[in-house]
Order: sequence, then structure tokens, then C-alpha cells
Amino acid sequence: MYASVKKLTGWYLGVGMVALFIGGAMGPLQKLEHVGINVYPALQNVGLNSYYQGLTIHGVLNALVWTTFFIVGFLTFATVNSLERDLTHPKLNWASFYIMVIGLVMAAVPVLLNTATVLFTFYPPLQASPFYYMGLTLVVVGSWVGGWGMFLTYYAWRKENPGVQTPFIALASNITMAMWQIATLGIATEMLWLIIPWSLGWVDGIDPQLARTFFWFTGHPIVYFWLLPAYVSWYGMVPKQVGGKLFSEPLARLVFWLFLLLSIPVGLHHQYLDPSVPAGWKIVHAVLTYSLFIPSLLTAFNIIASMEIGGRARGGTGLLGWIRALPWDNPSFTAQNLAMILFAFGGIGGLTNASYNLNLVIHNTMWIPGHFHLTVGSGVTLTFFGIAYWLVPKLANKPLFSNKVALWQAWTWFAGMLLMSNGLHILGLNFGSPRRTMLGVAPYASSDWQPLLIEAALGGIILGVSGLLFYTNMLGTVFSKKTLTEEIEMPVAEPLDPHPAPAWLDTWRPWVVATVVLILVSYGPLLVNLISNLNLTSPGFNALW
Amino acid sequence: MEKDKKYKAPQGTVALVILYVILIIALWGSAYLTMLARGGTIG
Repeated sequence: MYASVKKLTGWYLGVGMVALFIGGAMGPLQKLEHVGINVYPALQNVGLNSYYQGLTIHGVLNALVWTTFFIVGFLTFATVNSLERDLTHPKLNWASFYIMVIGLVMAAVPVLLNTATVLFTFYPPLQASPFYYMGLTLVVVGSWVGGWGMFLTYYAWRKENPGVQTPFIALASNITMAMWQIATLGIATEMLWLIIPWSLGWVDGIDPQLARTFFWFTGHPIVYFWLLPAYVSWYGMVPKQVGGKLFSEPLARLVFWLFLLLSIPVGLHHQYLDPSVPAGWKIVHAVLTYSLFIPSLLTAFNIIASMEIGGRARGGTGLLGWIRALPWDNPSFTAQNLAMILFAFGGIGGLTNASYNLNLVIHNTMWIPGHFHLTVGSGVTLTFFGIAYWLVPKLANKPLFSNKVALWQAWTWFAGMLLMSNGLHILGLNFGSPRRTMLGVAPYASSDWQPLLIEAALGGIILGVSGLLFYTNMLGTVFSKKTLTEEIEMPVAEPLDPHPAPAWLDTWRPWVVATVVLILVSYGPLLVNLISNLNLTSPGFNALW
Repeated sequence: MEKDKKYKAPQGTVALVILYVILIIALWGSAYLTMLARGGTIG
């Protein structure tokens, strides 16, 4: 079924997983460095020059490449299977893949040659090889093209099915890609107008403040670009996997529209410390950031209720007894449920660090990577692993290599991440230990940090082992000689209430217009101000490490 | 399922969400108190 999209999705996932393997391998090295085990000198022979080069590889390949490739592949697959209609322009979707791969190679080569050690946020005035920026830009452009392929397919389906409500999974996938198209206008502007001409030497200086503002225009919604595909699975697939139904489909649709509306005009909560951003705009973005708590809590309620339906249908009784009745022997479910639990803690950390005064204390500390690993490193990545446990066997037409190994993988990721993130959060909050820093050689490092750094390192090592278990399973599946006796179907949750959702939850125009208006109101005056006071004065700093 | 009728409304979910809200208040409050104990954002 839909052979073209199966192959395409397989390639997207494959490239993403290779990226995660390389990027993930850097993680335990960082944690070991923090406890004084510096392996970087020994790795110079293989081209790893410094902690900071490793950190750049870790961030770029994990946070940018693994996620984007998996998401574009998964959402394309989900759209086609949800609409039960093949891609209208498969060549366009393949073009998306090739553009992304070309971009990846262009960005990866300078990173591996240590000419782009600027971390994944690439804040100017740190300056990398222009190929790094052009490569990342192509990855984004490729993801846009993938989105266009999805939109055209959705549009064709709409023409063929007038008056029919869009299936939830297809709608949610397309809203996610629409949000991404709007959100990435910030980083596209930053790259094309400011950074690339500057890195090519066409202009002498850059305005770091304006560049950072454009970066965070995209930089926070990118979190939702990572997260919403996980929500597609949690809402649209997990209820089916647990034998339940989606508790409220209208509420699920509303949540996705709210994320379209609210994901973007919140970036300034990453810039509370930036002196050129007036406090008033920081307050506006802080309020909008907290408004994201509404769809988040609606999500928690709706998904847990859907699982409760499943648990009770499987014989679970009592107030919470249904939890034990859930299919904990299914690694796809277990990985995703553990991801949800870790993400719940990530959400609490996110709420906390979005408050202005606490943000002043923890912003540049280990708290942030602790939070980040609970969200993108767990809520997102562990969910993607859970999806891979049914999707890769389906794509390869082979059974999962080992259920048991997959279950161990999920639980070890859970345990490793709990240890690591707990250590990092406390280091940041209680001790102000800086992030993005070689703590192993920091003269100001306190002996009080040591137990927590050891805890984090232990967590990092467990995560490394867990990652190896994942790749063992993926390779074992793909290279297995067995074939499936029965095709795996994409799990699609039925709604508890079979009546269609209200029409306003299947209508694009008002939501897109409201999104654009809210962005213009929340970002427009600030951007006009920053642009009219443009200061292209800062030279680039490169070859620092 | 008959004896479980009273759980038709997702009461387990409501309990978990209430627990989550309590956790948010507790952990956020704890972080805030830690910040104050460190001298807040002054100095």
C-alpha cells in the first residue's frame, strides 16, 4: 500500500537515525568530561578536536537533523495513510528529501572539519563556515518542500471528498507542517539577510541582537514542531494501541489549532536577558507562553482519559487499577507512555523557567539542558522510538527483531533520563553550574557539584546503552531474513463520540488569519524597532576551539 | 465493567490531572524557594 511513500519514509527515518547515532554518541562523552574523564584528546586522531565540536555535533545532529528527518518522513506517511490517498506529487516529496540530504552534507562537513563549532544555536558573533549556514538553510527549505507535497495531497483529497471531515491524523499532521512553514520565516530571514552574507564576507559585521530575535522567532516553535508529531501519535494512534478510543476528538483538533495560533509569538521568553528587547514585549510573550499551558493541559487530560478507556476495556478496575491493565508488554506503547511521563516533568520545568525571575537565575545553567532532555530528548525522541517499533517493521515488512530488547530500551531510557535530568536541574538551580561549558577543567567548579555531576554522568551512560539497544533492534529488524506474515496497519484511534467535530474545527482560514495577526501584533513593533536601529557592527569570531 | 460504571467519567484521569497540578505547584514552589534562599536575583 502506497509503496512510494513507504520507501520515502524509510529513507527519511534511516538518515535521521544515522544522524542520531553519531550525535547521540557525543552525549556520554560530555557527561564524562564533566566528571573529569576527558576523552577528547584521545579522539583527536578521528577528527574530534574539542568538547565544543562534540557539543555542536550533538546539538545539530540530534536536535535539528534527527528530528526534522523523522518528522517530515513520519508526517508524510501519516497524511497519506490517514487520507487513504497516495501523494499527488511524489517527485516533489522526493525533491524535499534530496534537498534535505544535500543540506545535511553541506552542514555536516564543516562541523566535522571543526570549521563550524558554533553549537546548534549558532548565535552570532560566533561565526562558522558559510557552508554550515547554507546547509542548514537547505534542510529547512527541504522540509518546506515536503510540507508542500503534503498540502497538495491534502488539497486533492479535499476536492475529491467535499463536505467530508478531514481525518484527525491528516489534519493534525498538516497543521504541524503549516505552523513550521510560518515559524521558519524567522530563521530563513536570519540566514539569508544577516548570517550568510556576513559569513561570506560580503558585509563586515552583524547585528547579534536582531539575529537572535529572528532565531527565537523560529527557535521556540521548533519545540512544537518536534512535539506535535508526538502528539499526532499520542492522540491519533496510542488510544488504538491500548484498545481504547480517543476521549474527545473535537478537543484534540482544538488543541492543534491552538498550537498553530500560540506556538510562534512566544520566542522572547528565550530573550529575557537581552537588553535591547523592551520589558513590555517580554511580558507579552511571557503571557502568551503561559497560554500554551492551556492546550498542554487539555492534551494531558484527553490522552490519559483515552488510555483510561483502553485500560478499563482491558479489564482494569478501580480509580487507577486500569493503568496496570495497559499493554506494558507492547514496546511501542511503553516507550510512548514513558515518554509522556518524562515530558510531564519537562512541562513543569518549562513552566518554571518561563517565569521571569526564575529565568534570570537558571537561564545559562545546567537547568536548561536538563529541561531540554526531558522534552526533546524524551517526550519527543522516546516517542519517536515508540513509533519506530511499529513503523520500521511495517516499512521493512519484517517483524521487530526483539520485543524484549525494545522494552529494555524504553525502560533504560526512562531511568537514564530521570537520573541525568534530575542532576542537571539541581546543578542549575541550586549551584548555578553553567551550561555549554567544559566543567571538568573549570577552575570555579565546586566539589559540591560532584555528586550531581556523577549522577548525570551515570544517566548519560545508561542513555548511551539504551541507544545501542535501539540501534540493535533497528538493524536486527531491517536485516532480518524473516518477513511479516500479516501486514502491520498504522494504528488509527476511533473517537469515543462518533459524531463529526464542529465545522469550525475543520476550517483553516480563521485560524491562519488569527495566527498571522497575533504574530504581527506580538513581533511587529519590536522588529520594526530593531530593524530601524540596525547595527551591522559586530565582526565574526571563529576558530575559537 | 458493570461494577465499574461509576468510573464511566474518567475519574482516574481527573485524579491524575489533579495530582499533576499539585506536583506543578510543589516543584515550582520549591524552585522559587530555592531561588529566594540563594538570594533571589539580587547581587
